[in-house]
Amino acid sequence: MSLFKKILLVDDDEDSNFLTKRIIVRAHIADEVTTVLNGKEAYELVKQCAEKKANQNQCPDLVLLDIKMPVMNGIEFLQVCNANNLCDFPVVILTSSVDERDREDTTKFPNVKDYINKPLSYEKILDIQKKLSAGNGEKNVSE
Amino acid sequence: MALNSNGSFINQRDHQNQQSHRPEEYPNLVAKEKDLYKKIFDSLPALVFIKGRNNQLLEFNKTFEEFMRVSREELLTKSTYELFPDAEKYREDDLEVIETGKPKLNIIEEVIVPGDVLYLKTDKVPLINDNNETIGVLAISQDITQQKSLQDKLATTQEKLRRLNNELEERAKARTKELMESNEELKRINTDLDNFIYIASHDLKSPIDNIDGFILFLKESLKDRTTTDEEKVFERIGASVNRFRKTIAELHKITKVQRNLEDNIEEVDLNEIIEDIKTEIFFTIQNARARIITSFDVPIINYGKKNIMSILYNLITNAIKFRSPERKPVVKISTKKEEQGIVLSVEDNGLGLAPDEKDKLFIMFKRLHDHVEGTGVGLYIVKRIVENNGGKIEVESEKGKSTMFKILISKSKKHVAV
Repeated sequence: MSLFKKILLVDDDEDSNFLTKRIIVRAHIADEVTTVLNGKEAYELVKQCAEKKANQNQCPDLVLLDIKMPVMNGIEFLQVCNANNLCDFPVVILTSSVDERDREDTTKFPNVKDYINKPLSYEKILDIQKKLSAGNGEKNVSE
Repeated sequence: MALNSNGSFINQRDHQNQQSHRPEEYPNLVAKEKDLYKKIFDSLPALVFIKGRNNQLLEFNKTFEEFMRVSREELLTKSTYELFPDAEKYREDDLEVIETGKPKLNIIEEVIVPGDVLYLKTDKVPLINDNNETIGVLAISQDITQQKSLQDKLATTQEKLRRLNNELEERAKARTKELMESNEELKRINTDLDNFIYIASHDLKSPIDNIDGFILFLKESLKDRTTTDEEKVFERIGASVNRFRKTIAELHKITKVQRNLEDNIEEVDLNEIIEDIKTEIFFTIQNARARIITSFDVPIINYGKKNIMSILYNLITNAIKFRSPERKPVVKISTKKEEQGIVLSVEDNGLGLAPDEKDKLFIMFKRLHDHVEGTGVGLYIVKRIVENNGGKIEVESEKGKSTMFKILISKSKKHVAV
């Protein structure tokens, strides 16, 4: 039994995606990982899920979101979701950025549950899962 | 002045004499007096002349004659229009005096005489006869050619001076503009540099994270199948990656400094700051058996808390890092109120610096010692903070003996706690 059914990984760095996905799969964190390369593609997907156009099996129960991306960055993605009331999925920021401004700018969104620095490890994701199930969405933004 | 009935010139005294004495009774006296007045009249340093209503010169003194450089005969026979090119202009003043019966004073006029252009300052008064009729104009003129030329020279000099002043002002303005432009340029370059460092630190971090991840991947894949040499290579790669990460973290610190420059200025207790730092680097102090001595003449200053913390942290850890192996490290931290402002000093008894090393001290990534760990951004950060707060940092050092960093907190009043 995996921690999550479906994780949506939003990141333009394909090497990073390869490694993240590998950890998720090997550690049985999620049954399935979908990868998109920017915020716009991610938005299209969550929008379709909200409008029930997509197969619900396709819809993520966790979004791992990078910040710096082309086309639409992570913050813009959060903004557009927020503006369209598409916030019923938990988001965890997964980034290389150690800039506090990035942390401040993203964790203010209600569906952003955590902020972690790459690389993703099994311990980190387990920690997130614990927090999500315990607090049921209660925010925790530790390193 | 008045004219007698035959139209010839006499003065008021003559006139009175005629009334009080019969001239034929005192022929000698009258002749003598007339002679005397004529002499006085001629030797007056002013030009005195009389013109009739018809604009004809009736009488004038020697000074006038000499000034005009025309013979008496000519002056008396020729019309003023023939004599003076600007006669019409003078005539206007004459007519005004004749018509109004009032004097006209301080007329400054240019007079063209044979071979020269001269200047006169003239007073014109109406000339009245016995019947109280204005029959002409009595004029007294001063030759002001010299004064005028001096005045002109003065005006020219003044004009030159004004022009020079203007030029100077223009040059100063241009220079100020240039300076402001270079200042802007420097600010822009600084911002660019900060942005560059920020982007570099950020963009370098992702690939290094990936390399880290790929190494882990390889290690796991090759588990139990690697040779000792290969394992050593993995170790070396890991160490290199870690060093890379550290450098990026230091770079990131620099970008943080730039942002913290806006750090709120507040009253900070230096004793408290030192205590905080001592707690933070407790083990470093203990391992080096270092002593930290403080003596604050000014214990409270106005400064950004993070900034002063950063300055003192860097200087104290440096002092301990670069200790002499021959003696226990002693770090003296003090503040003094000096003429130019509050001076914060951090002095050690460590390795010291050679004169040529002092200049390289504040350069980014410049490391003067190899035997200690470091990335070489600490002093760069310190200098940046100090200067951005309007202060100055100096270093005094003797190789093998000591180093003292002196920081002029700021010339501005805002850094002085009341």
